[in-house]
Amino acid sequence: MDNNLTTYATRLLLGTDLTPVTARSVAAGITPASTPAEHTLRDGWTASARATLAAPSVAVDEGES
Amino acid sequence: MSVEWFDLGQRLNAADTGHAVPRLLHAPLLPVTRPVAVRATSTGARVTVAATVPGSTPATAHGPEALTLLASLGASITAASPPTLVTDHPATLGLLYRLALTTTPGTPGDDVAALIAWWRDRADFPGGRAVVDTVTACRTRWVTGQTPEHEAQPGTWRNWLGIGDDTPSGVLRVHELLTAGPPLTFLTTLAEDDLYAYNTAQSEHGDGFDWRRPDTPSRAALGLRARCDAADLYAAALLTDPLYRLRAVHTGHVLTGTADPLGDRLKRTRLTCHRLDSRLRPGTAVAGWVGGPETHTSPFSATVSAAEVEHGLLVLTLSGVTGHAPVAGDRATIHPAAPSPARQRAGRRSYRALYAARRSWLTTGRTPTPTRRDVPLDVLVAGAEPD
Repeated sequence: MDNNLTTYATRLLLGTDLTPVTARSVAAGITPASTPAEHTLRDGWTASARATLAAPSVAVDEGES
Repeated sequence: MSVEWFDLGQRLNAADTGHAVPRLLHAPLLPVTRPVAVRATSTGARVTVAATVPGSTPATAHGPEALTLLASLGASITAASPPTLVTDHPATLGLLYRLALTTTPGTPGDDVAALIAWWRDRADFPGGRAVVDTVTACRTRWVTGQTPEHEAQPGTWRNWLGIGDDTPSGVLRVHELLTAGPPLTFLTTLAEDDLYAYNTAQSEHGDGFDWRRPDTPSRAALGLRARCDAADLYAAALLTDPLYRLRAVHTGHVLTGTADPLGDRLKRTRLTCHRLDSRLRPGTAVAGWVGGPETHTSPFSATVSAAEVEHGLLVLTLSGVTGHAPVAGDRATIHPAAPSPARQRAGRRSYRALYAARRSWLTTGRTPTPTRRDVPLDVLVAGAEPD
């Protein structure tokens, strides 16, 4: 993780008990997530690994179009 | 705040793997037939333009000669199909417009200037094919392992996408990557609107319309309405993407909860959700399905008729549930219903007609007179108080 990202992450994690290192650990699933911030970090990490997720089988209802 | 943590999770993943990670499973842009990559910079009053098209070597020109360069690349309002301005520099369009203003009607550069004016007009339309800012589009499609400030720099994207060419040809390469894969829903509709606008601009140019004159009130109002419609449609297009929906859970635009149908005549269903940060308010039309945000099968539609917090949980009451309604205990996901492009176009036609009619309430400024008429029983029932 580069220094700029570390500084940025530190600012975002203010008030959460997380550091950039522990945040990475929680996001990657190495440490279990228990707080809302930890679950959200994990959601973001997991979403990143879902690039092969199947495309939607039904598009959003387009009404009369 | 929550969505910032979601994004941070993505950034940490990208930093870990060394690859940009997707925000979308679909392409946020459609491929185009006539991309023209342009980068304009200025030193004092002097504007320098570097430009190219696929298969050509980038060329550079200054001042009025830049318009000649663009014309040689086929960038003209007389082109058979609309040329697309592809740029990675935010000042480019403004500087091109400055050059366009130096031309006068009927001079050789006027055809190029009219195209620049059309680009400037259409630049506000998201997801269109007139103007593509590759940096904005990259930020819509991917996340890097760097900070948002770094992602505002075109060089960051070239690095993460493995493109070493920093000339306008490199901009075209980034654009190719952006358009790869199946596109988002509704982009075709937005492209059709671009084409219609281009044909209109061509006709007006042929008729001697001078884009340098300020818009009339009706033209400005119609332009504003068209921009709002395009923005609504693009927002709905993003919500058709499963990855985007996973993120939108954290912005409150997508909500998942447990369904409890009330089984009444109003076809109401209560949806109990753990997250309280919903943006869905009473009166919002929603589309939904049984399953999580990443799935999208067997849709239903409804309108949020009430939102309340019970025992720390958000309870939304959905009325008029039609389609594949969830049964008791189903996990269901909802988000704002997409606008109908057909209805949007019809609305704009009506709006245009009101502005064109000299005695309409819109042009005269008179308040419309309410009229009474019979209302169907089912409309009355749907509008009745639930209690």
